[in-house]
Amino acid sequence: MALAVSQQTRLSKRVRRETFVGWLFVLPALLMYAVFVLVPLLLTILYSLYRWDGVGPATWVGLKNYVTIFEVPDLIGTIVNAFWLVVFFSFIPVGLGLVVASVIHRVATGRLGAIARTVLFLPQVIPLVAAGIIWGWLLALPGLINQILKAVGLGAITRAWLGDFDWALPAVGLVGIWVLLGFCIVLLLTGMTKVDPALYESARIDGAGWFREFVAITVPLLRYEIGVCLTVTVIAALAAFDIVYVSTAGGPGNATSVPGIQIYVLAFTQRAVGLACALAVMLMALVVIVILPIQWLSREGAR
Amino acid sequence: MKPAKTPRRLRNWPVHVLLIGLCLVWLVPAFGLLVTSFRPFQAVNDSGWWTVLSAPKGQAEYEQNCAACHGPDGRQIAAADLTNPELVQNFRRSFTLIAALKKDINDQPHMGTTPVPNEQAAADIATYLRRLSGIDAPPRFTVSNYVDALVGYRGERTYEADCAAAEQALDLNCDASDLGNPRGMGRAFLNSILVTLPATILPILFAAFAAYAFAWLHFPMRTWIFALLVGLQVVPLQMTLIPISRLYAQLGLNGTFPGIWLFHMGFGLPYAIYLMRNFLGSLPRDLFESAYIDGADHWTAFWRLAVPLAIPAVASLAIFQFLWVWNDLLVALVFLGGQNPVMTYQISNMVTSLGGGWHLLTAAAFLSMALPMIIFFALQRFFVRGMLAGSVKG
Repeated sequence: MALAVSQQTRLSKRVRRETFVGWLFVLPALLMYAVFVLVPLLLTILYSLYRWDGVGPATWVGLKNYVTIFEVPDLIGTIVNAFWLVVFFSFIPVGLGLVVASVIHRVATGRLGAIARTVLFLPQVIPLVAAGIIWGWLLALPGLINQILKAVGLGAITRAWLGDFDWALPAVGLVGIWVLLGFCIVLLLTGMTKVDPALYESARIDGAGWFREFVAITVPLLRYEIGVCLTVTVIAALAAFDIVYVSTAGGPGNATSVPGIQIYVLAFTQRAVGLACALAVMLMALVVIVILPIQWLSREGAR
Repeated sequence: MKPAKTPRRLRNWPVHVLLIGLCLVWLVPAFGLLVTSFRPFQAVNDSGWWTVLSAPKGQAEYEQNCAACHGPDGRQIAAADLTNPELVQNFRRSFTLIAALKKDINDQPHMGTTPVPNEQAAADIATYLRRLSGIDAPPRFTVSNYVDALVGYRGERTYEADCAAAEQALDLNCDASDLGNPRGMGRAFLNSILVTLPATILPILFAAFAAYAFAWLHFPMRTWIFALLVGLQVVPLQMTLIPISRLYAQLGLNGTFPGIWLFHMGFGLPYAIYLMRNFLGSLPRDLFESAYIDGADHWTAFWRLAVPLAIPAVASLAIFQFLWVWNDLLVALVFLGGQNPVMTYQISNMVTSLGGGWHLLTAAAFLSMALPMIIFFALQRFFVRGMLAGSVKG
């Protein structure tokens, strides 16, 4: 009896001590996170309800900033553009990545596969600013793309791609594909190596071709990895800034203006802080709305 | 009986070709950048980088129109030696050249029966004559673009030429101190290092403590706080920029290094904690239990056990955070701007102020890529591990 009590006090003492040490270890990081992310997050939501130039007094306007975003074509246009970028930054790299990764996994297991993986991943490690310069040079009027078009007799369609109202956005999207494809391939490949080879073996014995194998084994079993790829690339698309800022700065006109650029311009050059915050909150909401179903689908049934 | 199978290697050759083609398509853009950055600016502006190994501009036109009389080397007519700079000086441009070609020489048409070349051909010939006479003979490759980018040169010629003629801009001294010129990439390189190193070390240090606690200590709300941190990884940068820049304005931190270190730390923490917790949590439980039984407290267990074992995780984390900070433009633009320009800022600034100065832009872009590429090739094996462990939400 006495022994049990002393053991219990010792235990509760240990628990209390662990609580104390636990908080002590977590607190510095948590404090930093609160000051630099959590509080600003809430402040951004608060600011979005005011009309404010960032210096003078702020006027409460309720949800009017959000209404403005939907009414002004230039602002709602940024969100439409962001969704177009999702197609280029996310759907194409993930789709193409699945195909290329399964090709590397099935066919090019040797040195070629390793080289391809490295080469395709390389754009992922360099600054997006440099990627913007690389493609700006390639897509410029005297650039390689136009020279190739001329050489194959399509001289009539050459143009300054990044300065063209219709083509600037797809051109920026192309840069996104170049940057993000490697990321998807590497991630998907590691997923594929975890799939039990016996599955592929038995599928082959049953006479399944590449396509059948791809649809019936690869895609369903890589649900989790595909989900991760989609999550990362969708965020990269919706919150894009660096590539667009360097290659087009949102132009020509507003043809490539995306929320990331518009928030920066509104807040730091036009001093419309309330409106900028409202757009930031919308961006955040968009990210969550798109990411949640992806997370949900990719985890349902997976492991 | 089935027909004999073709060897797999042979059967798959179309796929191999496609894969190699894809790799080439991926490499060509960067290769073009590299070649362009080593070409003299005159060449960058009037011919593509893929022509770098072809004959100099205007040579074909010269051979067609002039070589018959002047000779392939331009020296055949002693009275009109085309390698003589003083003579060619008079026909530098297409219109002066055409005027001279239309004039009679010794009462005969200059060109004889050959028609006078059109304006484009004349311009190309003039370019070739300038090269032949040495007035303007740019080499095929040069490093002057890199020198110009490093010192922040913004003129019509090159830094070297301006300094040789003692006509350099007011903020250049033509000695090693120019590497510190605030407009140049040399200074920006240093600033990038000064930003990136602390912004890499700080979050890892803070995250390591937190990750240890999340992995091995039981305290109330542990799961909730961890879930919050993991879930909020999706917050875009733009959500926090505005309030923090206001806070920094009040504290005088805008444009300073501590400001940007702290911002990157706050943003890097969730990923760092997540990755480290998963790694520490995957270590065998017995290891820590026996340490506690031997009387080790958490402080000791953290420094003597967790940290040494977590080195691989720390390595991938450090690489990722380093690249993230090094490659970032938005945060640098907002919190450092031109006061302490980093490389990405300097390049974006060159884009807006230089327009088509591609010879400088390509060199600057390559300078900014160099360090990330070295890190990538040297430490490749850590990449996949970090990407997988940190790949948002487990």
